[in-house]
Amino acid sequence: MSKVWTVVGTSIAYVWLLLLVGVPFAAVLVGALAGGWGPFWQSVTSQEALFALRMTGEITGVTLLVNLVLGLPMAFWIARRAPGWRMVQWLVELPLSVSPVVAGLALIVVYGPNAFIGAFLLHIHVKVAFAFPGMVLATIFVTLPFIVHETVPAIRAIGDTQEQAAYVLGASPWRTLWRVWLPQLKWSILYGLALTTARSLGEFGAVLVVSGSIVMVTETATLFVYQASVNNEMQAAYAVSALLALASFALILLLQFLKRAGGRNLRDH
Amino acid sequence: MTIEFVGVENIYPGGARSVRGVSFQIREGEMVGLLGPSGSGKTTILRIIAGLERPTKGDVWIGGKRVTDLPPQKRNVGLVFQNYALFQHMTVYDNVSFGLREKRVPKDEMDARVRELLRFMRLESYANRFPHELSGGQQQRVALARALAPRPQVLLFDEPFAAIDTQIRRELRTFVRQVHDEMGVTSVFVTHDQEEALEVADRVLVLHEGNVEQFGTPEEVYEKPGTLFVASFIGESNVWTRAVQNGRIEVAGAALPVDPAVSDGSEVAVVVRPKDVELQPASEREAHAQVVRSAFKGSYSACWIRTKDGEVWEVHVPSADRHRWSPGAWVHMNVTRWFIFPR
Repeated sequence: MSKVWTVVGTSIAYVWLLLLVGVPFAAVLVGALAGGWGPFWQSVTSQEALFALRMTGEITGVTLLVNLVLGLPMAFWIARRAPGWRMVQWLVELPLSVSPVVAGLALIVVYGPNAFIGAFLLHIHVKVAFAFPGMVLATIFVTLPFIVHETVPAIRAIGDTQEQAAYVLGASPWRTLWRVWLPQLKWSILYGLALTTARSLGEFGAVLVVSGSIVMVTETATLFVYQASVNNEMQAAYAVSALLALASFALILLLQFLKRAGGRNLRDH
Repeated sequence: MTIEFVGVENIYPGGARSVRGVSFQIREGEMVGLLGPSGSGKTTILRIIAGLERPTKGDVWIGGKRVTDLPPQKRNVGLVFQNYALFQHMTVYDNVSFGLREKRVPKDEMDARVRELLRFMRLESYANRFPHELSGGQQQRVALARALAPRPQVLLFDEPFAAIDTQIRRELRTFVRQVHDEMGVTSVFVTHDQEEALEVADRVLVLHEGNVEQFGTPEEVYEKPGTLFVASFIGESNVWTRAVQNGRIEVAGAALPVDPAVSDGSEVAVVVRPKDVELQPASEREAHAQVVRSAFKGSYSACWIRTKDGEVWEVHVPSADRHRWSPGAWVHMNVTRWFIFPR
C-alpha cells in the first residue's frame, strides 16, 4: 500500500513541477527559437538588448564585488557575536522579508532628487535615483544576505583557534585572512556569490522602481523582457528570457557542484 | 628565557576577574605546570604569555623584556592548542612550515628545518597527509612540530593531553618532556590533571579562583602544601574541621598539637593523606573505626573506614595486606602525618 502511495505522491510532485517549471521554461525556449536561429540571434544582438544585457552584467559585477567586500566582515561580525551582532544580523536578513518594490521605493525616498540626501548628492553631481548607482544599490539591497548567510556557519564551524595559531606563528591579520580563512571559506563564498549572481540577473521589482526603466539608459535585461512583452515584441522577449533562463540553469548546476564541494570541505573540520 | 608576571590582573568585559594580581617568575629552561580546577585562570595566564589576551593590570616580562603590549606575532613563543588548531586545508608539511614562511626563512633552510622536525616527531611519511587523515596522537605531534619550527624561546601547551587516550597520553607526556629537554626551551603547560603536572613539571603553579595558591616543586606542593586548597586539591586527602581545645585538636583518638597562635575555641581544618594513616586490628570496644569497603588499586588498596563519630576516611594500605582489612573489620587508627590550616 505504502509503495502505491509513494508512486502516486512522486507522480503528483513530478507533474506539478513539470507544469510549474518545466513547461513554462520549455515554452520560453520554443518561443525564442520558433523562427529559427536567425531571428533569435538578431533579437539578442539588437542594440537595445545588448545594452540591457551589458547593464545587467555590470550591475551584477559591482554587486558581487561590494557584497564580497562588505559581506565577509559582516559575516565575521555575526559569527563572532561581536557587540551589536544581533542588530547586524537582523539588518542583513531584512531584505529577505521586504518586497523588492518596497526596497526600491525606500531608496527613491532617500536618494531621490527631492530627498535631502538625494538632493545633496545631485549637488555634488552624483545621481543615484534613476541611474546606475541606484540600480546597483537596489540590487545590493536584495542580495546582501546571501554571502553572509553562507559564510557565517562555516566561520563558526572553523572557530577561532586556527586564527590564533597563525598569529602566534607570526602571521598578521591580513596574512591570516589570506592563508587561513579564505582557503577554508572559499566554497561558502563561491556558493554565496553564485546565489548573488542568480538573484542579480533576475532582479526586477527594486530595479524597476529605482531606475524608471529608461530605454538605453537604465534598462536591464529583465526590464527589457518586460518592456518587450508589453510592446508585444514577443520574439525579443523570449530570446532574452531564454538567455537569462540558460544562465540561471548554468548557475544551478554550479551551485550543485559547489554544494557538494562545500559539504566535503565542511566535513573535513 | 625567563617569564615573569608582576601583579597581573585580567578582567573580562562582563566584569568577571579571571586572574587576580598574579606574580611569579619562571626560570630559564624550566618546565612549569599550571594546575588548577576549571575557572582557576590557568588558561588565561597561558594566553597572556602568548599575547592572545592582554592583562588589564600588571606587567609580563619574557627574557627580561617587557612584552605586555607586544602582539603575539612578535613574542617568539610556540603554542600547542588543546584541540591542536591545525590548519585543516594544509598538509602536515605546510602546517609545520607555516611559521617559517611567515618569517621569510629561505626555502632550503625551511625545508631542512621541516624535514628535521618531521623526522624527530616520527612523521616523515605523513608529510603530504591532511590533518583529518591523522590520529589524535599524530595531530598532536604535528602541532608540536609546527610550534617548534620557528625556534621559539618559550613553548606553551594548553591542556596538551586532554583529548588523547590514556595509553597514548602517557607516551606523549614522556615525549613532550624529552622535546623540552632536547630543545632547551622554557615550557609552560596547562593541566587540570595533577598526576600529569607532578610527573612532567619541574615546578607546579597551583591556581585557585585566579590566585596563586602555591608555586613549588612537585614534592613541595605534595609534601608541604601551603594552603588548605593545595592540600586538598593535590593528591587524595581526608579533610576534617576541628575545634581547638587546650592548644590541641582530637583526630582519630589522638590529641594533635596546633600552632600556639591559634586560640582555643577557633576552628581549624586538618588534612590527612590516605597513606599517612596506619591501621591495626582492634577489638570492637577499643577500635576507632570499622572498615566499610575496600578496593584494589594495583600496588596499594584503598579502604574506606567509618569512625565511631560517623566520619568516613580513605586509607591506603599495601595490597599484600588487603585481606586483613575486609569490610566489617574493626581497626585502630594511627595518624602519622597531618597538616593543619585555619578555617
